[in-house]
Amino acid sequence: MSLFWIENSNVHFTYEQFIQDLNSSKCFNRYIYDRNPYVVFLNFVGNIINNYDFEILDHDFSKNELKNIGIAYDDIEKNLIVNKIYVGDKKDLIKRFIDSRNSSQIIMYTSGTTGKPKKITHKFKNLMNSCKVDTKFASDVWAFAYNPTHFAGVQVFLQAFINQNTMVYVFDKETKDVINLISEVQITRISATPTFYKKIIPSISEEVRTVKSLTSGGEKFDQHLMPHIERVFPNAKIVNVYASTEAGSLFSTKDEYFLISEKYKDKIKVSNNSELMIHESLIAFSDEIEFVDGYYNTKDVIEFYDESKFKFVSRNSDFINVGGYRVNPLEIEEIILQSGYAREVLVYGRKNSVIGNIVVAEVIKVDSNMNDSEVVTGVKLYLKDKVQDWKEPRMYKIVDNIEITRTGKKVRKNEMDYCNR
Amino acid sequence: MINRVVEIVREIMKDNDKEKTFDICESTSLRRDLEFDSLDLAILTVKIEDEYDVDIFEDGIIDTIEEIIKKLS
Repeated sequence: MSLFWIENSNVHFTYEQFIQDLNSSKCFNRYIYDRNPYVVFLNFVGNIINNYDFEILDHDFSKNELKNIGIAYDDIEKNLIVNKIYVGDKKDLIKRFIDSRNSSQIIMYTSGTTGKPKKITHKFKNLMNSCKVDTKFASDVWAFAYNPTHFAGVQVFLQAFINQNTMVYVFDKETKDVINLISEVQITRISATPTFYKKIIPSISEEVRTVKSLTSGGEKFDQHLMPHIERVFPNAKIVNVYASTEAGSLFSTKDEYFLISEKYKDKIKVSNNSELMIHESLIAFSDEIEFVDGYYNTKDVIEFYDESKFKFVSRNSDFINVGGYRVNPLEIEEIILQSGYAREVLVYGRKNSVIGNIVVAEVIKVDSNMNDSEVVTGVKLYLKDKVQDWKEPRMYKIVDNIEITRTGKKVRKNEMDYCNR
Repeated sequence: MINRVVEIVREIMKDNDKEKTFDICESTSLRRDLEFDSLDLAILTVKIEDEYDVDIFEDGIIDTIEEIIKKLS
């Protein structure tokens, strides 16, 4: 019996259980939209081995957010595809999974510059390119610290799954539970955002010697964090990666300078605004991505150290990076304006050393006689079920005026921040 | 100063419906005792920065009330 997925100290699933659940599934969901990560991966693998195309959706997308990306909530449960495959044992499962790499396409969503999440279609074989099967990985035990429906989570899953590793779900868990799991299960690999490391490290009093590899991604790596990580995980090799839903994993580094490998040398260039441009051959398919002379502008401002190394300086957009997630201020403003409490609103990011930025909303009351706290409470309640938790403003300011530019646009106050999505 | 810091901490707990009848003292751990998550810590940083003009997490990791006070003094 080999462990596949550990949800918590009491709930875990073996690969044998997973195979049994696959075989007893008559259908799989074409739209994977489930709170339970085990169910997400059951449908993921079911779709792959049956060679179906499918879409992965955040479980906390509201009906309104789904509608914005063209999916009717009521259609999700109806969109089922039939399971035609019977899996023998674990070896058979992994073989079928890897052998299906030329068939399926996986659709994921990311925030777009227009505010609507971009629909990105990845060929399964391209996602598998950065995964390696090797006997040296056979005993890896992963801390699964990303959202399972996001690109980074999918990448961790693929690497772990094809090596038949155990994955321990720590995403969104209380720090004390994460720490207990790390020592209980003898985790050897962690891939997470710097925010995750900042969250858990202060509460770890003893060295964790089992962790051999530690990857950081999704937001700018804070160099101040390095000595703390080295103290807690003395045996870990630390790698910082640059990846995005559009381009996949492209660069990595052991410090803040990303190395451009030989194969990418002709595939990247820099815009006049010092933004990183990536050649279209490296970008997943999407109707919503624009190319300039065959290059995709990441809007990430970079600075070269020499011709093969660069570091990120800032992200050239209004999006707010909250712990590795991108918040579109326009989306939040639009909803707040519908609340009935705000005449005008400005949403922006305020730089924060803990999670990158916190979302701040400046609100002009719809009626100046309203009590300030009544307005704030009303807006908070209105937002509650309409946006994902991390998009909600954490600070409110009741103001009389909102500054505008000469062209009549609101002055965005985001303190520019690096973001690698 | 400690009274004001404790007051800010309690405000955050109240805003997040995490208010406890917990006796907050210098050795209280924000994460372990008060179960502050990253967002709570972020708000705490901003509120303290607004009043004292100091980013308490600027160059490291803070966990107890005492560590905050040290950072501010």
